[in-house]
Amino acid sequence: MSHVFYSMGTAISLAGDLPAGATDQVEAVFAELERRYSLYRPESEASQIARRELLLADASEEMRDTYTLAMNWRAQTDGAFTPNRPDGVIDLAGVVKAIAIERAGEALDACGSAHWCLNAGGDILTRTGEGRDPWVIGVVDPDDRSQLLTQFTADDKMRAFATSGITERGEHIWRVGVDDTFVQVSVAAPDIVTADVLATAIVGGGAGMLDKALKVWPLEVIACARTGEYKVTPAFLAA
Amino acid sequence: MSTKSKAAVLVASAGVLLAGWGIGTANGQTVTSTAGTGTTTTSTGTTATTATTGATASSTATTGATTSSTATSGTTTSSTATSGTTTSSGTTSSSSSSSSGTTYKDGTYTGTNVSERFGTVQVTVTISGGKITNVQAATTVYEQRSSQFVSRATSVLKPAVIAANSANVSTVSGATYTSQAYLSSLQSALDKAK
Repeated sequence: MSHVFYSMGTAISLAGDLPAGATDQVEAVFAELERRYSLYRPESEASQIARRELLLADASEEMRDTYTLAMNWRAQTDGAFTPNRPDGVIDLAGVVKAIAIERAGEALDACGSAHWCLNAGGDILTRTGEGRDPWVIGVVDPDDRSQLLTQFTADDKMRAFATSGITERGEHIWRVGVDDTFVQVSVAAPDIVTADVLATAIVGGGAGMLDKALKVWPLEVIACARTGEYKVTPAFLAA
Repeated sequence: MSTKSKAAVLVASAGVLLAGWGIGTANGQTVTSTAGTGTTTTSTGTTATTATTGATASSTATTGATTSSTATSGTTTSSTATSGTTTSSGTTSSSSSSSSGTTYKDGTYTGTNVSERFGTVQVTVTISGGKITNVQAATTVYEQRSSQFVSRATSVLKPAVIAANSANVSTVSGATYTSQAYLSSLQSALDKAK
């Protein structure tokens, strides 16, 4: 069973066991976060902050929590991931979609679904039911986007998968320095915020950020370099 | 009590737990534990304890939030929380806490889910009668995959990368696609196929 809807400027597809009401709850999670955080909606709290009509200090507790989370990641990635746009606007999109995916996952669990896969614009969170076929994630080939480059099998430990690149929505990544080693980076991690943030950070921060990430977090990574080389952890190596 | 210091209490509790993790952990499990600091029914004046901790720990707690990658910062936070407890044992009565002007609103508050080197933690605090009656932390401890926590990346060319077996692929990950791009994406084809 599957279901597709549109939110946060992208398509979100949901597959697996979807009990009655599950899709509505997932859509509601995305809608609520989009209402608060979208910079494309002039009335959103995020837009009010961007226009300096609302001080961050006076913003909702949730907004401040999310900002704290993003700044925490900025510190942990030495600035390779940052919510601060060069023009001074605070853009929390880099964590908000992942937060939405995480909360939607909690909603699916709460609905009693034991086996599901949520894909929001290429960022994926899975729950693998006991005795069920594992979710196999195909990774788009950055050289030919109609083809798959490789695959990753999610499990209970590595439930989340995210890909960042400069191929589409290049404006999404605020580059630090001039590192342009990687054109596309995919990260598997235990949780979706970590996977999503670090995929973004490694595209922006290059090989140095990749090395640091692998030292600090339990990840599987495939990073596609401009030169045609690939940096891969064991999960992506052919036997 | 201001929401800022309330958040500080949450983060401070998180720091305590994170420090705990560094010492001994359950692997690959989601566990729920109760933090010693926040629990009420101990001999000393807990009301004052928690209020004081919240008020004084805020700067340390912020450190925990922003530079959390080391176990050391977690330890620092935990020691601050402890010193808060010690201080308040001198204040004893619950009236002293109300005079400090920091009262909590009753309810259950859940903090941000914080990612750390050893996993993630999300702290929930229950306030009843203006006092912290319970602090719970839902933690997910990352699996320790080997004695070496570190995974290594090797440089390879395409033939050495494991190929996709399209027949088994159930979902597709690519650089964030827009709604329009989705319509021509592999994921779109997969969704139609089901």
